[in-house]
Amino acid sequence: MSQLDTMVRELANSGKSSIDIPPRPAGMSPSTVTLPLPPGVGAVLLARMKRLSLPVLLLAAWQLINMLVLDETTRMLLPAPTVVAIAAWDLVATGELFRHLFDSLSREFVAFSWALTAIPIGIAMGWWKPVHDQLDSLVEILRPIPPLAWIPLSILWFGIGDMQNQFIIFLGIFFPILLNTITGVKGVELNLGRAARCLGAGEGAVLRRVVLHAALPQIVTGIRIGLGVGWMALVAAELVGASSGLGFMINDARTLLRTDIVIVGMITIGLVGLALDLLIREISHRMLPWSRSLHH
Amino acid sequence: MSEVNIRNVTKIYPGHSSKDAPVLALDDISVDIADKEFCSIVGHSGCGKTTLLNMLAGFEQPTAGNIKVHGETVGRPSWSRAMVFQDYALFPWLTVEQNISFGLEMKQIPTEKRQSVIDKQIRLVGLAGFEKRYPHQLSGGMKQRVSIARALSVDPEVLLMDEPFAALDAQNRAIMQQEMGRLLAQADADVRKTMVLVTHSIEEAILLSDRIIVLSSRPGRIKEILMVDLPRPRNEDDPNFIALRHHLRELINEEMGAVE
Repeated sequence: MSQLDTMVRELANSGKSSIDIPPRPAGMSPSTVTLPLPPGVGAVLLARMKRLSLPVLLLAAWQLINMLVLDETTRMLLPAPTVVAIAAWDLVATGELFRHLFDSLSREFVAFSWALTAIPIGIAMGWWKPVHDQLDSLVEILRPIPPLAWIPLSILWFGIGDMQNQFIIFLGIFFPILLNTITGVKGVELNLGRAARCLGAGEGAVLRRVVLHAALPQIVTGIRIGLGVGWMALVAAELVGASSGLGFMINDARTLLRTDIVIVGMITIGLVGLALDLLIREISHRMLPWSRSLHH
Repeated sequence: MSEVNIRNVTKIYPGHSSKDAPVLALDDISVDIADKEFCSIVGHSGCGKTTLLNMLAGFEQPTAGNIKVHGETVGRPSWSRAMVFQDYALFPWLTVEQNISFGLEMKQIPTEKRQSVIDKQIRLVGLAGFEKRYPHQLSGGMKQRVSIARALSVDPEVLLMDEPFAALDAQNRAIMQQEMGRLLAQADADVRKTMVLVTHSIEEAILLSDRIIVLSSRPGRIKEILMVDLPRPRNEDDPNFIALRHHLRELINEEMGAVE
């Protein structure tokens, strides 16, 4: 029982995707929960290794099945980890992986820059009710349309290439930033604005010096979510409408039945997505040290 | 000449829906507050004392009547009427120093002059050594010191305080009240401000005020205005203090009975 408990808790705590969800207590009776003692350095290392034991086991199983069970044809469809590793090495050595990665990342970056317009728009919507009333229905209609649903139209508008991809990613990033900015601005404590006003701040100064700052942690959350959604949308957009990029690379490899390259591409997409998320988290921890005390 | 003139001020809050009746929060309040006077407003929660303070600050407008400070009708909030809030309302992304500097920047005080004002305020409220801390690294009492220093830094004509010590624990509250009392006792006429304090603590009001305005509950009307003619710093064991406290408590208890 208690083991299950700790597993559930670990899952809840480890969650890369679950910053907004507080660690959930498992629904067991409290008496069965054993609290761990404060661990030493060795114990921490051991715990980390233990967490990796399942992936390592699966990898080994994958390799073994490949060698012992699969035949020539099915081996084509699911190459062994060693084959994937060799493909990865080749792709890195020739620089091909980085070329595609660079194209994908620069698309994400350009789209992200455009999507930052969501911040001023969100502040205006959160702060002035008339602006909110005007734009809200439009946002509510557009928001539920998945970025991927725009791909056909986007290809017709922009053709195959950077613009098309950037547009799709832009849509993926824009709305999470917008919605989080609006929420952040609406959540700014009334008295902060009042305090600024009775210290002599006008409307512009209240917005720039108080509202923007107070909403920043929520805006950064929007950026994190947006970059994640954008990254997923990017790969999808590249699958169908690009001549470079990681999405293009795996689709291209599929037509050549190079499943090893497909898997390398998938792993790269996953790792880069994770790295982007960690990067934003690290930046926000450094730049907003005060906000940690608010969120915990 | 009196500094603050409150004339026939009435505040009515419209009901939230058509079913809700409008609420008469304050009914025909008229009072003058003299230059450099320390004036407290006491009464039950819901008697409209914070509403009155918010109107003095310019956060809310009276439904009828008007409020003048130095002959000018109060409109928008301004640094000349700085406020100290119960929840401190410090900017959490700014350090102690930067919080105090905020108003000086808004007043466009040149950088080289700012530092001396900041240092003076920090010494005044006893925060030396905490200049670079962020609000979340401070205790409640220290946060309120920053808030007071921040409000005083802009050199307001009137200092408004909304239950400034209510969120503190008993010990810190007593310390802050005493320090404030000492500050008032020492402060020479140049430095002293006109102060308006909203509080539900009778002792706090007697400890600090020149005059206490007692408001009745729902609607808020002026029930009585008491002069506090005790020498500063004041002592809670002084028989006059005790007599005054007794009288005030009776006034407030009457209101409690009236509400129920």
